[in-house]
Amino acid sequence: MGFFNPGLLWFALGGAIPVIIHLLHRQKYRRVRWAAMEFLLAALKKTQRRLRLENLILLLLRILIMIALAFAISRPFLRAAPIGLLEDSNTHHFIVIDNSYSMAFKKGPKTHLDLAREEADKLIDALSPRFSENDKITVILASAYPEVYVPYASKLKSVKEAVAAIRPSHYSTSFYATFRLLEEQVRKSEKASLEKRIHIFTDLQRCGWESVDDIEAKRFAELLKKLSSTTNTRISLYDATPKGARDAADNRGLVGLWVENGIIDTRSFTTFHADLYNWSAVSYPSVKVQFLVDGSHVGAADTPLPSQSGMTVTWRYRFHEPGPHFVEAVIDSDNLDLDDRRYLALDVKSSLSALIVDGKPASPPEHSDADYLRWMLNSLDVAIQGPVTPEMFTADDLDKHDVLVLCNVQSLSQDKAAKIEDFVRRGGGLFLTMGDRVDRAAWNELVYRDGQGVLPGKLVDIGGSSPEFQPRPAYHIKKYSGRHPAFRTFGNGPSPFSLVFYQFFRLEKVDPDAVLAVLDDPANSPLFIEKKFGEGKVVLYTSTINADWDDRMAGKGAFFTIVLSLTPYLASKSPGLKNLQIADVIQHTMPAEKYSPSFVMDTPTEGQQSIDIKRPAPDSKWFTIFYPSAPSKLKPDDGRPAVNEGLRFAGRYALIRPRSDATTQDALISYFAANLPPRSSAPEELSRCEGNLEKINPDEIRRRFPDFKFYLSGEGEQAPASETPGSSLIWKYLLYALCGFLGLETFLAWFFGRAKQ
Amino acid sequence: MADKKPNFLDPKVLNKITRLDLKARHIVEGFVAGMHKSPYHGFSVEFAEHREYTPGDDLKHLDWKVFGRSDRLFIKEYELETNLRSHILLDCSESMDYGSGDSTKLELACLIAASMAHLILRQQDAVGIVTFDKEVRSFIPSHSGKGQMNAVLGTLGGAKAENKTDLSTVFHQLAERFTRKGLVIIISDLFDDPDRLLKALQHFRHRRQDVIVFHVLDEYEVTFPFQRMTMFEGLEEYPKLLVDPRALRQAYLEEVDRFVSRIKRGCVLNSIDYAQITTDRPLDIELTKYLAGRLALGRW
Repeated sequence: MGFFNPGLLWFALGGAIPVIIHLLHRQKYRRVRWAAMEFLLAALKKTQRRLRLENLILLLLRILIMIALAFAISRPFLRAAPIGLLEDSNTHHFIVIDNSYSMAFKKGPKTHLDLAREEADKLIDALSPRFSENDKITVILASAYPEVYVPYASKLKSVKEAVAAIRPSHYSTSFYATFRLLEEQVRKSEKASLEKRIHIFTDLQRCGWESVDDIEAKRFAELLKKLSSTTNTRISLYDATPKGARDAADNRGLVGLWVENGIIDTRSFTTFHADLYNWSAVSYPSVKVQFLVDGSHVGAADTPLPSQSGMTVTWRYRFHEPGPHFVEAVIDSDNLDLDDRRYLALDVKSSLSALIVDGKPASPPEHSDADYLRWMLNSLDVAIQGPVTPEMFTADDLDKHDVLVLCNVQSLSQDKAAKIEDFVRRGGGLFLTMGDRVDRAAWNELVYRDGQGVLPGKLVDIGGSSPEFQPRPAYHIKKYSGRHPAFRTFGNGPSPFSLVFYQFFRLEKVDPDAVLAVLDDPANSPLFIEKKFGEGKVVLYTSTINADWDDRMAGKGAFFTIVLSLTPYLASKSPGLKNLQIADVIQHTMPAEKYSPSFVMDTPTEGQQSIDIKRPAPDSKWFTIFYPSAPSKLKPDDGRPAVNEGLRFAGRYALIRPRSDATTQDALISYFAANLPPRSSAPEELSRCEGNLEKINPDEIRRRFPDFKFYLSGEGEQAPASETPGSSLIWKYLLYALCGFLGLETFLAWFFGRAKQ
Repeated sequence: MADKKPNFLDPKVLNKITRLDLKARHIVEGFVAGMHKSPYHGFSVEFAEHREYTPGDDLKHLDWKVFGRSDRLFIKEYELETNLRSHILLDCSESMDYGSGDSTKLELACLIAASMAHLILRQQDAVGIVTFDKEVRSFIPSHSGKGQMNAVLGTLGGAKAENKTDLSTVFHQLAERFTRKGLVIIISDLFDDPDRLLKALQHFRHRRQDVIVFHVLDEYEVTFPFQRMTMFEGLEEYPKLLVDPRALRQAYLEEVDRFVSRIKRGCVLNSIDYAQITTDRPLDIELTKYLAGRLALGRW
C-alpha cells in the first residue's frame, strides 16, 4: 500500500485522542460521601463486565474513526507488491508534453509550448522537495509520432534542462498514438509497485482527440479505460493555452501547392495552384501569396479568404533552366507560422523526348504508322528520335527518353522486353500500336507474360474485316473514359465518335477498369487500354494509325487530340516521388553508373547529412538512395506505438553528390519537398488538420470517454465529475467506512446510553 | 452544623400530628386516660357491664350473685385502660450521616423520633429512647413522666453517627430486654443484611412487641441522580469507588428496589408496620399519611 499524501498519516495519531479523553474524563470527577455503598457495589458487580465491554467497543470505534479519517485524507492506494507503510512514495512521473506544431501558436509573448514548458517546470519544482532517488521521471513528447524524450530519469535538474530544450515538432497531434506509447511505458515501468503520475501538458486541440474511423475510436476508448484503471495511476491534464483564450484560435494556412501540367519544361508556362484555408471565425479581405523558385521571389498574388473557407491562388511561371527546381508558396504570417508555407519539388525538362520504333517501314515512308505519329508529335514540340527499325532498336538508351513508341512491331527479344519493362517500371511511358506485323504469340510470351509484363491484355486475334470483304463493316468508339487525360479535352473539341475503325486486335484478360475506350462491335472490343507498371504507364492502341486497318487516323482531328494529350501523360512522372509528407521516406533510384559511396542530403533543419550507399551488385543496373533510412519491413502493428521512420521536418531536402576531387563541384541530383499535413484539400482532412486550432472542452472528453479518469489542472484534488474509484481510490472506501463507524458509534452510544437515561 | 440543628418540635409538624388520633394497633397492657383499649377484657379491676351468657363463655366469669337473685346467667365484663409502653430505636450508625440536601438522614430520624415521643407522651403513654450503631449507645427506659420528653430530647441531641451498623445484633439484644408487651418504633436506614434484619424484627414480634419501622432514606439514595464521573467515598468502612454513575444507575436502582421490596414483604409477613420516609418529602405529610393509614386499618 502507498499514500498520495503520506505526511498526513501523522493524523493517525489522532487515534490516541479517544483514549486521552477517556483518561482525562476519569481524572475529572466529583467526590461524594456515600452511604448506600452496598447497593452500589452490587450494581457495579452486576454491570461491570458489560460496561467494560461497551466502553471498550466505543473506545475502539472512536480510535478506528480517527485512524480511518487519517488514512482517508492520506489517500492510500494498493501496490502490486506490499511494501512498508511509511516507505518513500516511489513515484514514477510521466511528463507528457504536446509538441505538435500547433503548440507553436503564439499570440502574445509566449507560444503554447512555452506555457506548457513553464507548467511542467513548475511541476518539477513542486516535486523537488519530496523527490527521492527511488522516484523516476519519464518525459514523452506527444504527437502523431510520440517519442520518449527523457527515459527514466532520476535527476530533476537534467529533466528541467531537457524540458527547456523541447521545440515544436512538425507533427500533428494524436493522443491515440501518444496514449499507446504512454501505456507501453507505464506497463514497462521498472517496478510494477511504483505509483504512476501522468501529467499531460497540451493545448487541448480537438483534432488530437479525434479518430480516423470507428474502429480507432473504439480502440482509443479502450486504451484510455485501460490506462485509467491501471493500478496506482493518476492522470492530470494541464491546459497550456493562455487563460481566457478562445476555444478556436485564429489560424489560416496553406494546405496545397500543385502544378496542373503533366510535363514541366522550359518551353511552356507551368501553372501553379496554391490552396489556402481559413479555420478561424475571421474573414481576411486580402491574403498575399508569394511564390519563390529556388529561393528567389518570382511572383505574388492576392486573394480574399473568407472564414471557414478555402481559396485557390493560381500563378504561371516559365522555367528557364531544365533540371531540379524547388518552389515555395508563402502567405502573410499569422500566429502559427509553420503552416504558412508550402513546398513543391519539380524536375523541369528542356523538352519531351520520344523514341519511335517502326515495325513496318512503308514506302513511301510517310505511309507508315511511325511516320504519321512522328508528324503528329512534331507539332507538340517533342524531341523525336527515329523512327528506327526493330533491328536498330537496342533499348540501351531508353533513359534519355520520356516516351517509347512501338508501332506494329513484330516481336521483341527477351532482352529488349526486359529493358522496356525496366524503363516503364522506373517511370517511362510506353505507347503501343498494333498491326498486321504483330506476332501475337511472341508478344504474349515476352511482353504479356501472363499479366506480369507491360502488355495490358493478352492478344487473341485480329477482329473486324479485311478490305477484301465488301461492304466492309465500320466500327466506332462506343464509349470512352472522359476523365482520363487522353480524352479529357473532348469537352471542347471534335468528338472521337467520328473515328472509323475496320480492324483491331481482340484481347482477353483485360482489366475492365483499365479500358479507356471501346468499340461498338458486338464484343465491345477495347480500343485503348492502359496499364500502370511500376512508376510508369503503358497505353495499348489495338488498331493502326495508317490506312492499313482504318480510316487513316493521321488526318483525323479527334485522333490527333488523343495523341497530343496522351503523350505528355505518358511522359509525366508522379510528383509524389519527390513531394512528400512528414514521416514519408525519400527514395531515389539512380543508374548503377552514377554510383557514389556517399551522398549528402541537405535538410531544412539538420544541416547536411551524409548518406552512405552500399555498392550495387555487379549485375544490378540500379541502386536506390533512402533518406533518413530504408523503411522498416515490419508490418504495422496495432499493439505498437507509431514510430516515424521517415522525415521529421517540413521543408526542402536536396540530394547532392559530393565532389569527387578538388576540381569538380557538388552535383545537385534532385530536390525533395516535405510538407505538413494535409495530403489533400478534402474537407474531412482539413477539419482534422493540425491547423484547425479548435479546442476540445475537458467535459466533452469525459463525455466521449466516460471511462477515462483524469484531473484537470485547476481542479486541484477534486475528483473528476464521473469518477468511480479504481484501486487507487481506496480513500473513498475509507470514507464510507468512516461514515459507517460514525453511524455505528452513534447508534451504539445511544443504545448503551439508553440504559443510563 | 450546630446552626442547622433542627427544631425537633416543629410546630407545623406537631400541629398536624395532633389533629389525628393516634390509636395503637394493639392494646397493650398499662393504662392511661387515652383511647387505647385493653386487650385484656375481664382481667382488669374496673367493672364495666353485664351481658347475657352465651355458649362458649368462660364460666369463671359468671356472676353467681345475679344468678341467685334472678335465676339468669350473666357474665361480668371489665374494661381496663392500659398504659402504652413504647421504645424508639434510633439508628446512629455512620451511614445515617449521609444527606444530599440540607439535612442528613440522622437529622430526619431525630425529628421523627421527637415527633413520635411527643405524641406518645401527650397521650399519657410511656416512651423510651434507644440509640445504637453496632451496639447500644444509650438507653432511656420507657416512662410517661413529665421529664421524659426532656430526657428523650437530650438523648437525641447527643446522638452522633460514627460507627458501623449491626442492626440485627442490636435488635436481638433489645428484644431480650423488652419483657413486657409494648411498641417498638425503629427509625433507621436498615442498611444491613435483609435476612438477618428480618429475623431480628421477628424476634421483637416473638417478644410480643408491636413494631413500626420508619425506613429513612436520602433522596439521592432512591433516585441516584448523579451524571458526572463520581468518586463515591463509602461510609462505614466501605472503599472508594470511581464510576460513571449513569452507567450504574439502573442496576443500582434495581438493587435498592429489591432491598426495599424484601424488607417490605418481610414486614408484612410479620405484621410489622413499614413506612419509608425520604429526606426530600415533607415529614409532616409523610407522618400524617402513615398515621392516617394506620387508623384506617380500623383494627382497634
